[in-house]
Amino acid sequence: MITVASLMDQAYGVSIMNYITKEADRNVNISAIHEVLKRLERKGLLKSKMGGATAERGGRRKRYFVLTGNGKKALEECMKQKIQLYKKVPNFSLKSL
Amino acid sequence: MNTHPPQWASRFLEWYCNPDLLEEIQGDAYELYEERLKKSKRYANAKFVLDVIRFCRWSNIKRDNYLPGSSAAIWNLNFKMAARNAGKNKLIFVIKTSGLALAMAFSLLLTAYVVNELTYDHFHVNYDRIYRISSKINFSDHITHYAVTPLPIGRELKEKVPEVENYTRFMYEDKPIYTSIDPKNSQIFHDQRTLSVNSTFLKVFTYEFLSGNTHALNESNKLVVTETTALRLFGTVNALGKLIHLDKHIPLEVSAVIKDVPSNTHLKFDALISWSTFDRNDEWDNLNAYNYIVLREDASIEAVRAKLPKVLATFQEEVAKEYNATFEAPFEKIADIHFSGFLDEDIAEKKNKNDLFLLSAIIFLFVITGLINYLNLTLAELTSNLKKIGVVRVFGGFTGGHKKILISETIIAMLIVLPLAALLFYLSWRSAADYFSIQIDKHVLMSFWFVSISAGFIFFLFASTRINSYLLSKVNHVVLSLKGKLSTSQSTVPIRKFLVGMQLSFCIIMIALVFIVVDQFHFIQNSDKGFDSHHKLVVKFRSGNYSQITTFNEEIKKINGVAGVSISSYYPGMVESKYIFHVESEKGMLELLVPMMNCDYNYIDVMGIDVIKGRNFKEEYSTDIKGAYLINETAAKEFGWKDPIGKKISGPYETDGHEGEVVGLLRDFNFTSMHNKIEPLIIFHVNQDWGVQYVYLNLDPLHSADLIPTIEKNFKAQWPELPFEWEYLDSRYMSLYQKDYEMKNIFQTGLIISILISCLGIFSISALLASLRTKEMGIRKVVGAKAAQLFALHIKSFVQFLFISMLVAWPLIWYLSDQWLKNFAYHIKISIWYFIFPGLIVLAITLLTSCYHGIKSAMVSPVDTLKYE
Repeated sequence: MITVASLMDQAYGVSIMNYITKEADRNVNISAIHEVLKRLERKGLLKSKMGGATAERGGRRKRYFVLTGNGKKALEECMKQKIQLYKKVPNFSLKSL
Repeated sequence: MNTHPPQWASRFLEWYCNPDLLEEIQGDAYELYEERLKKSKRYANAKFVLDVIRFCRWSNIKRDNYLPGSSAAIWNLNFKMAARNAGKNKLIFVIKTSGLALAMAFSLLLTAYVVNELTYDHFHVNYDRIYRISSKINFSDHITHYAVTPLPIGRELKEKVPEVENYTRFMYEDKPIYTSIDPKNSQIFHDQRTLSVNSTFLKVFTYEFLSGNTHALNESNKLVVTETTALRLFGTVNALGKLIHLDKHIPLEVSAVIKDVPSNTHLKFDALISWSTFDRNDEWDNLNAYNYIVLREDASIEAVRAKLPKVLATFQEEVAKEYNATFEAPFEKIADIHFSGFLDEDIAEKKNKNDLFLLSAIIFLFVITGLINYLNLTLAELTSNLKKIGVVRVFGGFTGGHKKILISETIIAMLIVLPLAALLFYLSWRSAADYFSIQIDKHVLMSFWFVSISAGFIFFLFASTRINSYLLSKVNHVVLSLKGKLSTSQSTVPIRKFLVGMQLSFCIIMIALVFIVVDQFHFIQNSDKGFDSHHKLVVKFRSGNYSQITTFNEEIKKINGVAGVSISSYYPGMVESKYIFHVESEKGMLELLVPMMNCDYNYIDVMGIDVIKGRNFKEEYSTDIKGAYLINETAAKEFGWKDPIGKKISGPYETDGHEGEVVGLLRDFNFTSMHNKIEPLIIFHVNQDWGVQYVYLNLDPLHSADLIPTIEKNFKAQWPELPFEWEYLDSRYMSLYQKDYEMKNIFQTGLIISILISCLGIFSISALLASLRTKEMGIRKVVGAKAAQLFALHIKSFVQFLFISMLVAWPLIWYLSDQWLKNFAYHIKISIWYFIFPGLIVLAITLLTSCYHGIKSAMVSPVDTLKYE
């Protein structure tokens, strides 16, 4: 979801996959990404629209994804929680790591 | 360079993928492909295929018009609606599901039965290569076809014909008696069907071994027993190595225990004894063994047939010289034995293939009618739900909304129907074995045919619910469905009428057939067999010592309750013995093969057989013991004798120089089952040379309960080591018709179920018609029609197609019953009532079931119906 947000209006299947590979150094399969996107959309956290055709895809259109209002809120909630939890970690324990 | 990804993978993706998702998925896949092309084409191709396969998941395959938001809720709602519908119309729901389950279970049972019958002997690994040899002897005036063959024929064929891979042969051990070896506790067993088989038997036929192997019968004095027999003889299944005596003096060692022989085989046995245990006359003139050959895989039976004359040549000459007859040895696949005609001394149960086709037709009709009912009822219900569907669509449901309701309803119904059908099937399968003596082997349930046919039923069921959704999908306008109109239903009504008409004719056929079958049974039971089979007891003997039995009879005669005692060689249903007799004719002495039996002075009286001319055997005439014959009417006709008394016959006495003459003419009596025509019969008096096998007792109808134990005590006093075996003659006769009873039971059950299902069918169609004509009825009533008239109007349509279905049913009834009755040499005449009665019964049923809706639509207030919209 963060990826979708950071890619702004360039988020579609392949670009998301490449982004994750590049940034998170994780190999993910394209079909897995489709699956996740579909689920998020169904939950109403993402919305999508079909983009223009490009030659490299054999004339097929891309489906671009953007966050919905709900999606943004959920993302913020999620991050806030994580950061809050992170802040509770005492300094010394971090240092010892 | 070709830069396309593999075409087949791409096409596969297009095939399975939901068209709505296809574009983006394919796009992404192509884009990745182009990128990977930079590395290598092979890598890219492989990756592309992998991607396609990984995309192949349910969420990408299913075609729902997915829109975010409301859809999941609607799906939930669908199930809720389906469940609620079921709950609201409890009666209809119960009728619908139970009717379908019943039809399914019954057709599954019939399928199992038919598959069971069709796969006789298919469990042998080489079943399509094993042939049985039989012997056909053509005398100058008649042909006899035996299942038994000369002993060496199989071995000779194997030695002289390269196409024959192996052979086996066996003989029936006549009434074997096993005695346990332990002298203190000596037990006697006598009911085991025992074959003495040669060493290849276990290799030619396939049986499952619990212990031991296919070499078990290589040596003499070895015994192979089935599981059940092992339990009975030794009290344990681990009987390997145990010893037992056959006929008191032949020691046998158990060398293998096999699982019980499946019931769908022509070759049923409880124990096998190795061939070399006995000394036999292993010559061509000993026509007593059952011979089987196995062909090589690449050989054809024609090649063996072509080489057969060479093998048989010497024997054929011999037969020609001695009997003035020709000998042939036809081959028969073991899988076909169950369906072929009955041979002399055959060991197989036979089944008429026509019966099975009849049953298959019934299965088909059952499935169809069950489905029609289900569909009709569902549709009738749905018409009342149209409004609801309309409302759902207004609130964001889809054109396919009703489909989903149908699907969810089907799923809910299936959750009930399938387990119920399985349960019913299981129960009926068990009870069929227990009560109707219909044996269906449990292996059949796992067989390919049975599994695929039942899977077919289920598929059929689901597919057919799509018919309804197709009909409903014609209701495309929200407005129409809100109005509750099933716009196209008018055009589908004729189809449904036709289907219900079919169902009705099916019902008529069933009723008529059951009438005919039941009548035929009454006919058999009450027909004049030519003698009196009531209150007769038959005691069976294994080895008939004439004088011993005579003393036994004297003892028995003194018992209170025994009205008459007699001796005979004949027993109903046993293989009858035939002998070559010389009978007097205008052209001199004729040589004829005639069925024969012997009996004592009392037999004719005890059995109540009429003497038409001449006299019975009498003690005053000393010549009667040797040299007097009784014949039946058919024999007199066959021999061309107008006045048979005094005519000369010579036969089995010939060896001791006796020639005899006919002293009495008997009225024909039926000494086999009614399937066969009465044959000519020659009777002569028992004597020392011919063993006595059966003692017939005429019992006082009011005999005391301990009569049979008293007889047994007498028997044991005479033969302490032999089992006392007896049977009532009546029940013996009934057991001759066991296969017919199976048919009768199937038909009777089928009748009940088909009547039930037809009732449901009529009920459902009348519900549908009534709901379609609600308004019409309302208007008619306003204009002035009376309730009775409306009722008549409703009934009229049913009576109409009842008549049509009767016209369809009649020729079929005639054809089917004719086919079945052909199995009997003596049968009832088909009268016109067999056609009219079933029609009347179905008419009554139709009126009763349709009048519920008839009355309902007639009584309803027009105010309610006219504001229906």
